[in-house]
Amino acid sequence: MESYTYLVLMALTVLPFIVKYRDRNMPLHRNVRYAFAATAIVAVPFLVWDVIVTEAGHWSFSDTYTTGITIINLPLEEVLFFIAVPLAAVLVWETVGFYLKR
Amino acid sequence: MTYTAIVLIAAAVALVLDVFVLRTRLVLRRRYWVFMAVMTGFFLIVNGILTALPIVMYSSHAIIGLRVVTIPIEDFAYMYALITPVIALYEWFSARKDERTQPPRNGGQEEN
Repeated sequence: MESYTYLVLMALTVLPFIVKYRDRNMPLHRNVRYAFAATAIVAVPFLVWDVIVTEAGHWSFSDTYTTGITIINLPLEEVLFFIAVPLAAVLVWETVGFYLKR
Repeated sequence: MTYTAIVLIAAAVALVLDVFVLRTRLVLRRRYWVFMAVMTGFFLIVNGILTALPIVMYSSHAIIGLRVVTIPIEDFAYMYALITPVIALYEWFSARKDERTQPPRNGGQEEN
């Protein structure tokens, strides 16, 4: 079970976005494609950076807390990080915008 | 190059993108700093878990070794460098769409 730790952490990170992106109190429901576009654009250089420095040994990933599925030299969960965290950030951005405008 | 050096460059690139390239100027908006405060809270939880178990292990050669509990100080700059361009691009795309669909009500300036 503990091999799912990083995967579950990423699922929990993106869950609020999945639940709330259609909320009509925020412009996000009209702009969700921009959230995906921004995420995709930013993910590319960060994934390149990650692949290079993982190879160079700047950091490494636990075999215990990851599923063992890898893409190039990164755990699947690490790749999902660059989708889950940006989408979560957009939700936080929109939520803060909602409360400041109220 | 160390993680420390790369992440400082990445943070600088994020700032240049926001202020000079996309001209979203998030760093001048109150909303951005409230957002960053909230994000720092989530970051401390998620990165705390990543570095405490640990799920991600850092080479002592790549970082200066200063940590907030278990989180390398470099990770704070990493969060900034990752999140700022995402919000800047999101706002830039959204603003361009609004320009196409409706005239700006207040000279195109956001209130917060």
